[in-house]
Amino acid sequence: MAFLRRLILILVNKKTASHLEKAKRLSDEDLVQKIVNTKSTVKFGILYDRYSHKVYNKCISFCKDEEIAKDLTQDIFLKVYIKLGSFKGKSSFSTWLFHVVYNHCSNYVVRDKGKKMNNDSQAFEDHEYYIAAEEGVNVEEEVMIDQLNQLNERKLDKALDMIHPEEKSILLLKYQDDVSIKELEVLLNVGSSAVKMRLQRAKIKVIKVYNNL
Amino acid sequence: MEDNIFKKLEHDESLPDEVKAEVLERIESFKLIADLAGLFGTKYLDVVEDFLKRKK
Repeated sequence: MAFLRRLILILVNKKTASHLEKAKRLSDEDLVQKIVNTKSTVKFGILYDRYSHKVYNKCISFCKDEEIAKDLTQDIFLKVYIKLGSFKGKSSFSTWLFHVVYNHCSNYVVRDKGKKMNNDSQAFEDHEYYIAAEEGVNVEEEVMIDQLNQLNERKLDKALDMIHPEEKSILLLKYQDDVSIKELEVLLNVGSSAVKMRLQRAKIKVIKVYNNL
Repeated sequence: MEDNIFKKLEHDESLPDEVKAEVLERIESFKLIADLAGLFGTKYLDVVEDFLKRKK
């Protein structure tokens, strides 16, 4: 009897292990589909293993505190589990996830830390600026990113913390996570010119803050 | 062409293992609450209503 029980246990464990191994080989999108269909926490654990390091470090970049980043990471993964059904595959899963992370962290910075938007933003509401940014956005963007790349890392990091977290988010999505303009259009639910304009505004803002440091 | 400065700004701290267990535990609790809410909010709604009426 004991032998039979042990045999059954071995067989069940082998089956579970092979299911897990199969799930580990799935693409993010297929794995998400499986989790949505089965609500499996074990499979969600695989997704957690793939992205927890990145999510945690993105949280640190916003809150600058490891303990708070741990809490934010937990909250984000619970949120992701709940919202997983709303992922429609219009962008890659990582892009969708990072957008959730940045939104959550932005809310944290704005609400809980009471960080106020820099009043300098008023200068950018100027009508002429909008027209100029809209017309020459491609050329200017290339010049600007080269400009940013020449800056001092620590100073830029500080400047990024001083602009609005939504502006920081769009810059990180584009230049740290390599999200395309097309994906940003889907995520932000705006047209390509609006995406380019937001990027341009964020870059001009961060350089202005950087120069005042 | 300069290196992408945004990549250099990425942090590389390691996340403690216990966080995973806590996350999965919270998800299990959420699932349990959602299942109970589903059960008594839809399937056994009549039972709950009867119970409340009787209590009155």
